[in-house]
Amino acid sequence: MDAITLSHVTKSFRDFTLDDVTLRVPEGTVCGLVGENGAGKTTLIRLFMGAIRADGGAISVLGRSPNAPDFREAKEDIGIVLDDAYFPEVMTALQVGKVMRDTYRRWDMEQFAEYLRRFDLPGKKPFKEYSRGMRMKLAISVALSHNAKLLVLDEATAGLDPIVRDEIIETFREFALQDAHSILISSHIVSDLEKLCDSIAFLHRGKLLFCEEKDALLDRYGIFRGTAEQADSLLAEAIVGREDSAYGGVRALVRRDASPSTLTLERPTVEDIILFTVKEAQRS
Amino acid sequence: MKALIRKDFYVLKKQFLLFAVIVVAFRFGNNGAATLISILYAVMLPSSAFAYDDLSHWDAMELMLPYSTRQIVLSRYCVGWLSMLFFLGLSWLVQCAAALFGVLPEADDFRAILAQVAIAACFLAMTMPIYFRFDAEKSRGVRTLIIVLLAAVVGGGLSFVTVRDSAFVGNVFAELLGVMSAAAAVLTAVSVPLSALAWRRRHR
Repeated sequence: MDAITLSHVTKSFRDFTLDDVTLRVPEGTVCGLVGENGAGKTTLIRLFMGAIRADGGAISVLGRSPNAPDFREAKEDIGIVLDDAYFPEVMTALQVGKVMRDTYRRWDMEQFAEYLRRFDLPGKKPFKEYSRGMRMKLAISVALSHNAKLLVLDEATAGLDPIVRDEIIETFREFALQDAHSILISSHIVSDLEKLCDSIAFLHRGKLLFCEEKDALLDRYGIFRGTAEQADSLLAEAIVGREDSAYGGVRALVRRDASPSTLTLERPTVEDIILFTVKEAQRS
Repeated sequence: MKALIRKDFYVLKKQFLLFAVIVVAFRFGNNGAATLISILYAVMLPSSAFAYDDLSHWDAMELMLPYSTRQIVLSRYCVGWLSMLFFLGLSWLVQCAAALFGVLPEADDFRAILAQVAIAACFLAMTMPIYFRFDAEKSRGVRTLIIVLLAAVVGGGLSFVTVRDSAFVGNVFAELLGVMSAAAAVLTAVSVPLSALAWRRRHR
């Protein structure tokens, strides 16, 4: 079963359209949703969480439609972390825990207390006195304390220092290692996704440019470094995007299957693929 | 729904304590409208909860959690009704205690108290859909208008008969019980689905 399935989903606003998005997150996998600010990542998450309705297409999350009356059952199995922890600021972590105990049927107060200890979060300190890192850790503690099967993370690592980010990514990795646990993580920090994800979906201006397994994606492309003449000798369809330097050098993202086998190519990063793809999309 | 009510009471804890002190002090004033003013204040507490929600963007989180629209809407009405009952009880207890020691006359006629509860319920029913539709800042302006109108009707009515003693005011309220109860029931019955509709429109 897929944890999340979106099929030809569209949603139009006055100044933005999420256009014909088809995406699968198989159960037990981690999918990274990448895109620049305003690409439609949060809209996509709000759609499959049932917070807004799609204009067209079909959505299924843990086997249920977000528009169905029983979707609340599915939400019991979903841990959600948004770009900030939107709990009322006068509340303490312990009060948040008590509210969540009445929210989720399978809320595990011991597990929650364990996360508070692990993240060194003071239970009785008002939430407004928390640093950004602490706020996000509290949101993550909530998301992981009700035996969720699917974790949805919307820019959960944005604005955090590298040490806290690393600690949080490690927590997500532990979650993902458990049987049948899936994660959809949206971020524009591609390096975080590269560490964690099995597949990468790339949204650009409301369109899904690709959704592929990370390893297949990295195997498909290569980074070419050479002169302009060497680059020009490659087939046009081999070159996804190129950067010409002022000194005559060229750095290009090329498709391995359309390039000569003798050509020496470096392994790209996901960030390379995304940057070249965006630049090419903007150029065309 | 219990979760949302609990959250609101955590958020409103300080205001609750502060207001309890005000109610006690106000009760000793032997004002004929003391009970009404206490419970009208109480039904305004949900609006503070809305303001806190706006400040923390709680609605973004709320939409992702397993709450139904019915729970979200009804929980706010419950917070209003529970606050009203709490402060009504407090006001009544203070008056009974004060009457026991001869500081104040006996507690209001029970029918008069119920009529005042009905007036407060009408106020709650009139203001809640506005809060579910707009942000707290906009809603506050509309609420102020409703308060002014309500104060003009209630206060103006009492001034007209030029009698301001507690017993007379109590009698007026007691006479109004039937009308006010019916109005509260009708307004609430219309208000709850309207709030649900307003909330959906705001978020979809």
